[in-house]
Amino acid sequence: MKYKSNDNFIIDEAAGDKVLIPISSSVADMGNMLVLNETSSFILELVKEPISIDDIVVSFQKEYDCPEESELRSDIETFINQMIDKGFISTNN
Amino acid sequence: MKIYTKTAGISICYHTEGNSRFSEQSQLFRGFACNPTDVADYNITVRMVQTPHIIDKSIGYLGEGENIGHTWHILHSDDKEIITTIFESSPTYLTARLTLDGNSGIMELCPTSFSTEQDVDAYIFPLYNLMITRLIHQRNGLLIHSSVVNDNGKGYLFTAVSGTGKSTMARIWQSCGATIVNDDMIALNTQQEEVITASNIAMPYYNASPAEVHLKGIFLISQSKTNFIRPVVGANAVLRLFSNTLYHALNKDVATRHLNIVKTIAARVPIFELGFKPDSDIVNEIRALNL
Repeated sequence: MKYKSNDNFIIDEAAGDKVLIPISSSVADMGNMLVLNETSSFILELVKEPISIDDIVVSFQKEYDCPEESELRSDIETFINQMIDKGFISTNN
Repeated sequence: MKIYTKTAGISICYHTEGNSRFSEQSQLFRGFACNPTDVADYNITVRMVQTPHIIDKSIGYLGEGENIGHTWHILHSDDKEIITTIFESSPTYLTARLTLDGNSGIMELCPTSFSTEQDVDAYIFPLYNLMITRLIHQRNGLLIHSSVVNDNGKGYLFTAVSGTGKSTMARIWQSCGATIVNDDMIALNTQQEEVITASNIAMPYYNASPAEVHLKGIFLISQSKTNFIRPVVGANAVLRLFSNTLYHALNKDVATRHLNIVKTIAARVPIFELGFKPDSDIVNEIRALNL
């Protein structure tokens, strides 16, 4: 399974941090505005193109000093699932 | 017939075609009418039409009011914006459409009963609100749900979701000698060095009158058993301010521009989290900040 970001948000800088702003007609979605840390920004950069969890894990291992792979994978999956719940990422079988 | 108005810091010259006249019954019109200016920021021609407008939901951006009797739609392109409102149960209008092209616009109103001598409401809701939201955005400003008071030349803004105490806070300040600029929806203008708040006609059932003040503090309010004032900084401050603004997410360019406006305001005006109990103590505590 591959994951890809939807074209329904922007990521920009605010006061030294990266923030995610939804592009949505729903006022409720404004509650989904996020301050992103470095790793979440990294994942959202990777999922601009369809990518598997395995490939995200490999990219992390190349870029960062990572925890044990199972812990890393679990953290990535948790974030990806949160983004799917918010409608910012879709699956692509 | 021509009238000149200034709302949300923006001067608009309205001109009716034919024999239609602006309704002089409207308190809103009288309160915000201003003297003719050589160059209004925008010129809007108002025209009565007999054929109701149709919304094409396949293009542009759609907003739908919930249980408030209308549907609206904004079509946004590089050179034009077309705002259409369909009324479900208005006794006066079936539809209304505003086409904005640079500094000019055409407002078409389709009444329930057509006449060549029509009384026109220049502040037809929600078309006016949608228009002013787009115009102020073009001028690097925004609208925010808030009350604002003028305390001896210092503007303090209190923003929160409905029912949290914006109007209560404004009345407390009024009892302590300040004047209320607006207690529902305010315009923030960033074109000058200081952020200026300007009163706006937000909803037909709120009273508002023209007023402006330099903004010295923004307070994100919540009800509390005890008073507290805490600075909010960084990206958190930007997002919390953003969440209370009127934001039409037409596309990425509009989103980026809106964020930049919010960032400009957050960089110029200190933002605080404010808990308060409804008495004059909070006024003294804010005055003591010497903003």
